[in-house]
Amino acid sequence: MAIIRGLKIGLVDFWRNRWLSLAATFMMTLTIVTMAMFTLLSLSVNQTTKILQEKIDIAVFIKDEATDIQIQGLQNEIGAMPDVKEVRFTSKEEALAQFREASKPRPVIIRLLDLGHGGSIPRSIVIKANDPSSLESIASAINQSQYNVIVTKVSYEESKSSIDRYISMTHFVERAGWVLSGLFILIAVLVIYNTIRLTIFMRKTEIEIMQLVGATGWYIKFPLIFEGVLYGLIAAVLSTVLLFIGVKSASPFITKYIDSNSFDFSHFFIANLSKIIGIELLVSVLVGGFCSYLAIKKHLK
Amino acid sequence: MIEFIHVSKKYGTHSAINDVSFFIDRGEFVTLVGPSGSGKSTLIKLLIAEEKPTGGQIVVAGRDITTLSSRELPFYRRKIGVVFQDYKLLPHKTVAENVAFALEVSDTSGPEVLAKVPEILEMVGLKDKGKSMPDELSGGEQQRVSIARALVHQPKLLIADEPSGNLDPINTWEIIELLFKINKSGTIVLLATHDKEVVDALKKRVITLRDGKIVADQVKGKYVL
Ligand SMILES: Nc1ncnc2c1ncn2[C@@H]1O[C@H](COP(=O)(O)OP(=O)(O)OP(=O)(O)O)[C@@H](O)[C@H]1O
Ligand SMILES: [Mg+2]
Repeated sequence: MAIIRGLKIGLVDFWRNRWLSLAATFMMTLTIVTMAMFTLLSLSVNQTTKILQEKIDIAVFIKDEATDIQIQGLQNEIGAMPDVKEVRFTSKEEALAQFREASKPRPVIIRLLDLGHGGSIPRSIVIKANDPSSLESIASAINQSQYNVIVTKVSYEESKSSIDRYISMTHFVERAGWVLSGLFILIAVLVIYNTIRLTIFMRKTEIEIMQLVGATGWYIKFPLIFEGVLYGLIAAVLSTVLLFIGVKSASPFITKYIDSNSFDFSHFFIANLSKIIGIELLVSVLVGGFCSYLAIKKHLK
Repeated sequence: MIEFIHVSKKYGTHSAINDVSFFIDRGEFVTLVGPSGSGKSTLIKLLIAEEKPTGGQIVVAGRDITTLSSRELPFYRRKIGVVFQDYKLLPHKTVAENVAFALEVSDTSGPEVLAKVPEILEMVGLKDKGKSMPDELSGGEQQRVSIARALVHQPKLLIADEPSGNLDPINTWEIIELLFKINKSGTIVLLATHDKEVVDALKKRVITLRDGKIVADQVKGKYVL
């Protein structure tokens, strides 16, 4: 009963100063879209980084003249290093098979392999670490090892630079997101606060009379709080629609930029839709309600 | 029931109420008189806790109302009905809505409101005006809406500030009769006025204010200046 009344009054007030209400809703929408967009971006870049970090490893290529005993020794030494998760040896035959598999779309190479030109593929040891950042020290430990003589190449540097690119991108996206979201939240708070303040001034006499005939604080405040929450609710719905459209149209570009075939931005959005809407609602309703609360606290005796 | 104990109210350096003490018992009908600016409305504002005194205590039903918290205040106000000097009707609500409003704020159920409002409108003689807007009514009618709203809670105390302010003698008497009727049913009535004829005809207790001080308190009083 009291809630229905609050909703009704909140709606009427929304309509009465509709331009300001629209501005408040618009600002709120902008804020939420920005926040959601950056959260999504940051999440997806994170996700990609994780996928890449899973993949990152060191390949140690071994000279053809190395003996099995030397290789075994190297393998044991690597296995004893801290933070090594996995050590896998690839023989010439396996390497060849893998190469053959990877070259399937190019029949010329297959033909060459069939003609016996595959003999030069070296044996290798592939190392994975629990934490990709410790790969660097593992790589340098291998370079200093007594078995270094049997190693032709430790391939670490290449993968590292691409990972670094993703990590710095994540940081950039996160930072930009925080700054913009913070700025927009601030503006949204100011606009909503002023809208509620205007409502309080418009209804000053009415509120005064309500107080004089014995209305409780809550009875008077609820419609005002609801008005703020309403801006949030409308904004949450609007921004979900906008985000949906935005993600659909920006997704190919983003997926390309993130440059990973195992990741589709628009799928990621849809998979997390309920979570996104939930967070949107929570943020918008909290911000709206909070602004109303502030305005009431300041301007309602 | 109501006791003012050395109550003062200053606006800046100006004393609107200056060291006022009196006691009103259950069922009394008290008129509060005095020239314009003598502090009648201020005294009423203190009694309904719209203003806080700058000194003294106001005890109603054993409770010092100057110490009411903002949480307790609404519940105190529901026990008193006030007819304001300027009516304080909501211009965008109909007569019936204006009266119902006082019930709704105190969480009265819908059916109860529907039953009580016509009843109280009939009592103040506005049975057919329920759907009118306040600005379609005469001053006397608006006054009665204000009375209806004050009464709809069935208050223990009815305060009327200048209810006959702008009314012709017939209207004035109708309203005074109404207040009498309400008083007979056991409600304390506190009537502030500077209408000499009314006061002299009432033959009730008269408290006379001048410059914020009580200058007379007579059991069957006359308007003296
Ligand atoms: N809010 C206020 N601020 C400053 N002074 C005030 C305020 N309210 C009342 N006063 C002063 O207090 C004095 C008493 O005013 P009050 O309204 O109580 O008089 P009154 O007896 O009701 O007069 P009237 O018969 O004209 O209604 C006046 O001098 C008035 O100017
Ligand atoms: Mg007055």
